[in-house]
Amino acid sequence: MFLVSAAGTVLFIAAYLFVGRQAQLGLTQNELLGTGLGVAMGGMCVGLVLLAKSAVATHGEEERESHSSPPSEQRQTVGLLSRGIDQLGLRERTFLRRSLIAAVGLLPLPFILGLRDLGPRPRGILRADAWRPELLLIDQTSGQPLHVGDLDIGSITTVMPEGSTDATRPVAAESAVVVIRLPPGVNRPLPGREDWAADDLVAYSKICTHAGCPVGLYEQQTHNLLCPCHQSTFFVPDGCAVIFGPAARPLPQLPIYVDDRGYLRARASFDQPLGPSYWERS
Amino acid sequence: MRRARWRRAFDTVDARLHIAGPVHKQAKKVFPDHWSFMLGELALYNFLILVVTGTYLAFFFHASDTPVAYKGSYLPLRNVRVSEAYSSVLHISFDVRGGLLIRQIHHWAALLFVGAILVHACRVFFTGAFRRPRDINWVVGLAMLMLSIAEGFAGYSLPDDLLSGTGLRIAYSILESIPIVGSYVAVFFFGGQFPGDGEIFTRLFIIHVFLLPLMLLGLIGAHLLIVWRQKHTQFAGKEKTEQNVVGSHLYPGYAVKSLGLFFGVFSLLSFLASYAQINPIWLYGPYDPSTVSAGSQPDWYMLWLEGSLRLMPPLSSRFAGHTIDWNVFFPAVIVPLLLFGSMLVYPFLERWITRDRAQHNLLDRPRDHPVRTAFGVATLVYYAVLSIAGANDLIPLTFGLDMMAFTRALQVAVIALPILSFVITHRWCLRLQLNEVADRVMFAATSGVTVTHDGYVVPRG
Repeated sequence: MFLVSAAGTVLFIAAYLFVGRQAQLGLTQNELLGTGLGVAMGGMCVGLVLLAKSAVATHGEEERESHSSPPSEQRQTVGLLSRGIDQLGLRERTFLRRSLIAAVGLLPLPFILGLRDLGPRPRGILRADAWRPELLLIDQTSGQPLHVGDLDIGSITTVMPEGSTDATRPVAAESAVVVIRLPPGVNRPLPGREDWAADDLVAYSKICTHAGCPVGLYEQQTHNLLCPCHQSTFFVPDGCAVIFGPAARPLPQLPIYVDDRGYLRARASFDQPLGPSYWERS
Repeated sequence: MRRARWRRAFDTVDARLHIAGPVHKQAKKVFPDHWSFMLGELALYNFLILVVTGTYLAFFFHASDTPVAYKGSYLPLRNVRVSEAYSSVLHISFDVRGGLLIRQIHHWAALLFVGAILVHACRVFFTGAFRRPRDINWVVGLAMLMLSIAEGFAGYSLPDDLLSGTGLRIAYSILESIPIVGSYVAVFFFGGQFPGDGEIFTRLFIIHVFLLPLMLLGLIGAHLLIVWRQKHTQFAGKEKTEQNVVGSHLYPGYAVKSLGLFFGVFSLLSFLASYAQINPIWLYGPYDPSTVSAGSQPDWYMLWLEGSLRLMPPLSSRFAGHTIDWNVFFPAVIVPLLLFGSMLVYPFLERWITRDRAQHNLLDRPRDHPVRTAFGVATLVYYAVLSIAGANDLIPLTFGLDMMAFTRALQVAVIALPILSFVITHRWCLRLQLNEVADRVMFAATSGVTVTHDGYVVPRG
C-alpha cells in the first residue's frame, strides 16, 4: 500500500513536469495531478489503517478523575485570590477601585472610535443614483445611446445613465435600468405617470427592491419581470407591481421621452430611492 | 542497541523539557472506539488542509478590484476588463501548475469542513454529550460552527465572480435591513455605498486569511484542551461506566488510525478536486452589479439562509419617516439569531427544566430522551426545508413543477413539518422504548435471564 502511495507521488511529479498546460485548458493536467495526489494520500490512508488493525489489539481502560476539585482545594484557592484583592488594598480604598474600573472601562473607546473611518456617513449617499433629467439612456451591450427603433415588441435591454456607464462603480451600480417595449395598448400607466412611457417603451430600475439583485428575467408572454435571486415577480404593465415573491415594493419607474433625433432620454430623476430598503428611507 | 539509540534521542529533548512522565501518561490516554467520535477529527483535518491549501492560494491571489485587461491563457476571457482579484484567480486556475487542483481542494474542503462540524454537532446533541460538564465545549463548538460559515462565505466572496458578487450584494442588503444602525453597518463594512471602492476585498481578505482562521485556531485549541482534560464520553456497555473510559491507547493504535483518517480525507478531496469541478468562475464571468444569471445558488451551508429569504412573505412597515423591511430583516437576521440562539441555550434550558445538575460521562441513546430527540429532529427538518427552499427555482425546473405552487407549499411546510416531525419522533422514541420492554419481558420469561436496560444479560433471581 505504501508502494501504491509512492507511485501516486511519482505520477504527480511526472504530471507536473511533463504534461503540457495548454491541453484542454489545463483540465487534463488537473486530473492527472489530482489522481497522483489522491493515490499518494489514499495509499497512506489504507496502509496506516491496515497497519493499525494488524497491530496487537491493546484494550485500554482509564479511570476518570472528578471533574471538579475537592472542596478544600477550592476553598484554599478562592481564599488566595480574594486575599490578593485585600493585599492590594482595593477593598477599602473605594475611590481607587472605582477609578480603576472607570479607566479600564474607557480603554476600548479609542479602538472603537478608530472604526469610524471605515466608511463615510451614510446619510446623503444612501441610494444615490446617477439619473438626472435629460440624460441619454446608454445601452449596456452596445455602449451606444438607445434609439427608439432599437427594441422590438417584447424585447428588453439594460441601460445605464450617460456618463456613469461602469456598473461596477458605486452609484452607477445602483443606476442600472431595464427598458422594455410592451405590445401597443398593454401598458396601464398609474395615475400621474401617464407621460412616463415613450412609444410603448417603459423604463424601470433593474435593482430589486427586495435584496438588490438585478431583475433580469423577462417573460414575453406574461409581461412578468422575475428576479433570479429570490423569485420576486413584477408585473410590468401595472407599474411593475409585485405579484409574487418576497419583494414588498414595485420597481421604481424612470420617466423617459424620445428626443427630436429619436434617442431616449430621462424626463426626470427617479421619484424614490432605488433598491432595498433601509432605516432612514421614509 | 536500537533502544539505546532511542534513549539518546529522547534524552536530547528530555534533558531540556523534562517530559518523560507526561509523554508516558498521555501516550496511554484512552480513546473510545466508536466511529461517531471520528466526526470531530474529520472537521479538524479539513481545517488543516484548508490552512495549507489556503496559504498556497494566497501566494498568488490579489485582493483588489482594480480593473485590468485579462491576459492569461483562458481564451474566452482574453482582453476582457476584469478586476485584479478575478484575474488572479483565473491565473491560479489556468497558469499555475496544480493551481486549479489546490483551488478545488480548498473549496471542497470548505464544504466538507462545515458539513463535518454540523454532523459532529448532531452526534453531540442526540447523545446528550453536551450535558454537564461538557456544556462549555458545546458553546465553543457552536461558536466554531458560526465562524466556519462566516469564513466560508468570506472566502467564497473573494474571487469577484458573478456568483460571489451577487452573494455580496445580498449580504449588503441584509446588513442594511437592520433597524436604526443598518445603513451604518453596511456602509462602514463596504467602505461606502455598494460595492464601495474596493475596500471590501482588502477587508474580506484579511478577515478570511487572518482574523477568522486565528479565532478558529484559538477555539480549536480550547476545544481540544477541554476534551483532553475532561476525557471523552462513551456509550454505556460492558465494563463501561461513569467512572472510566474504555477504548484504544493513543499510541500507537489510535494515533496511526487517526493519521490514516487524515490521509483518507486528503485523498478524497484530491479525487473530488480532479473529477468533480467546483466553482468554475471562468464560466460565471466577472462580477457586474447589473447582471445575474438564472439559477444562482450559494454554497450548501448558505442555502438555508437563501431559502429563508425566498420563503418570507413581502412584509414591510413604514412609520414616522422610517422603513423596516421585515422581508429581509426577519428571514436573514432574526431567523439565524433564533436558530443559533436556541442551540446555544439548549443545554442550559434542558438542565433547568429537568433539574439534572449531575456530571455525565455516559452517553444517552436518543430514544431514551424523546423530547430532546424530537426537538433536534424538528430543528433539522426546519433547516432542511429552508435549504430546499434555497433551490425553489431549480427544483421545480428539474421536476417540471410550478415554481409559485412549490414555493407556497414550502411556506406551509416550513411551519407544519417541524411540528409534525416533533410529534412523530416523540412517539417513535416512546414506541422503541416500549418494544424494548416487551422484548425484555418476553426474553426473560422464556430464557430465565433478564436483559438490563444497558443490554447486559444477567441470570434472573
